[in-house]
Amino acid sequence: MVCPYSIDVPGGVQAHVLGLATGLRGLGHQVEVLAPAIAGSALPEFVTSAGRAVGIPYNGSIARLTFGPVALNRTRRWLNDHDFDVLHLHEPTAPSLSLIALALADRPVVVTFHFASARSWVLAAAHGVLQPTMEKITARIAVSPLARRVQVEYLGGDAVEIPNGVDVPRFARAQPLPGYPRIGGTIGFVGRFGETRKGMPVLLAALRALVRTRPDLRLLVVGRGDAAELLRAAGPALAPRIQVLPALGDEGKAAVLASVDMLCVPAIGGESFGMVLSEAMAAGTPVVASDLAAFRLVLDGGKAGVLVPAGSPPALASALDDLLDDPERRAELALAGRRRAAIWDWPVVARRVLQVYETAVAADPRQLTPGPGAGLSRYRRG
Amino acid sequence: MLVAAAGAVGAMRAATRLDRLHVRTDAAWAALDAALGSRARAVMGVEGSAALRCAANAALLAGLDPALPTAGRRAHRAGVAVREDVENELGRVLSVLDRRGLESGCADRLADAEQRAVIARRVYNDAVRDTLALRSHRTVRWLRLAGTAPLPRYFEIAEPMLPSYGFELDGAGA
Repeated sequence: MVCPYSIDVPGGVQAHVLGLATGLRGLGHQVEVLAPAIAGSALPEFVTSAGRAVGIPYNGSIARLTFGPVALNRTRRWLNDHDFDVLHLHEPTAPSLSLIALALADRPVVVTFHFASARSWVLAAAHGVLQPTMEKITARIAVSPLARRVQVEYLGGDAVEIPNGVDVPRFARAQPLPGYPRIGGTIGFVGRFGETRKGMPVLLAALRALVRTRPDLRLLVVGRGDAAELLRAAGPALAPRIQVLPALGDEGKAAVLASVDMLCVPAIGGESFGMVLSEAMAAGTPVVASDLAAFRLVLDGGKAGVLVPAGSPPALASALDDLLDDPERRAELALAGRRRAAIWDWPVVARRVLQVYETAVAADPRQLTPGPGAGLSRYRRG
Repeated sequence: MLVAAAGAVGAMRAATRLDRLHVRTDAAWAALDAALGSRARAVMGVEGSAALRCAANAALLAGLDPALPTAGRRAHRAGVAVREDVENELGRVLSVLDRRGLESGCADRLADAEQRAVIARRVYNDAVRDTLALRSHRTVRWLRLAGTAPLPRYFEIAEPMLPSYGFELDGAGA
């Protein structure tokens, strides 16, 4: 399995790669991961470092990618050292390790597309220049219907939809932070609160209306961003009711989800899956989210969470207000969320990825002329 | 001279790519054929209606028919249309099958076989798409790089809405 982004830096794709690798190993398969990493960082034993990553602007944020002769050599050596049945590359359109591995690959290749951004310059360029390389892909996976649509419209291929996995047991058994849950109600927000598209201004406006009748309401924020800036934007009435925690990694996020009465995800666009929604559902935390296509899918059309019109503070305030007063409804949503989250549990997701691997092996041209080493019973994959 | 040499190199590369794509398409067909066969066999294990048994039988026969070779380029021609009809009928019967009454191991086997058929069809159609794209290319058409190889054909069957997939597409990605 090849991950194009620095494995020692937290991120969605990295978490996916490690979660899937662990899930597959749990099912008894041999998995090796190649990824950029800073020398000396602690890595799981199945991860091989491909050298340092360089930050370059990609897809609206800074992606830490690796390329150049060192990466080329390490990728070649890693491929030679292991006799993989399947090579699984993540985000191969990023100019990085995955693309190098694809160019060098001589066996079934499965790729996973993570992003649903249609603005990527790489996607635009990919079609012409990269077409001969992309032809080596045997099977494609998209983590959401939106990622699949980008795949169909911009890259001319179809993909099997398999959602992102969630470490369900970790979120389900998380303990609340000291002092939580508290009387008066706590609303949670997880993510980069400084980015306008994540919708923090909408939530602040909604809270300004709510605190008039609920003096003890508190907002617990966890994520990367400038806390001082956030408190300034909140204003003097709201600032004392906001607690900001730095990005804490998965354990911390799980504890925060276990502490709040509900999670609010007021994003106004640009979301392709909404990992935090599925994590909250696994934790049994009711979710109030914007009515974006991606969120609607995760929340099963509103059966496993509350959907509100995106970008509307009054609608959000009213939904939060109703749910704060209705513990029974919160318990129902928590139960529905936990039930639904079972489909994202890594062992479940890994089994579905395995079906794709097995199909890719069955569609391996080397099978047409029976040769040695085409064992079907046990897979090694990268 | 230089232009001619560059042209020759370009044509050779296109021919290599084309050959690789034809082989990939054939291999993908073999996988799809096998997946469809497994689906029909999984259906045979279901205690179901006569219509179900009949449709599965037809699908199994279509897969076994010596007139429809299971691998190789010939498979992409006439036989595919017949196979599509038969598999579509099986898919239709399966879509109205009430699975709540099925024994769980049997239902799981059936769902697994259906998912694999979906994946194999995507893999095959992807290979066809890439092959057709290259075959429509100027260099390939003018120099007749494809030789006598028949044009591969998409395998078009209605996609089942699999219950265990968990997602309802509501137009977002369908």
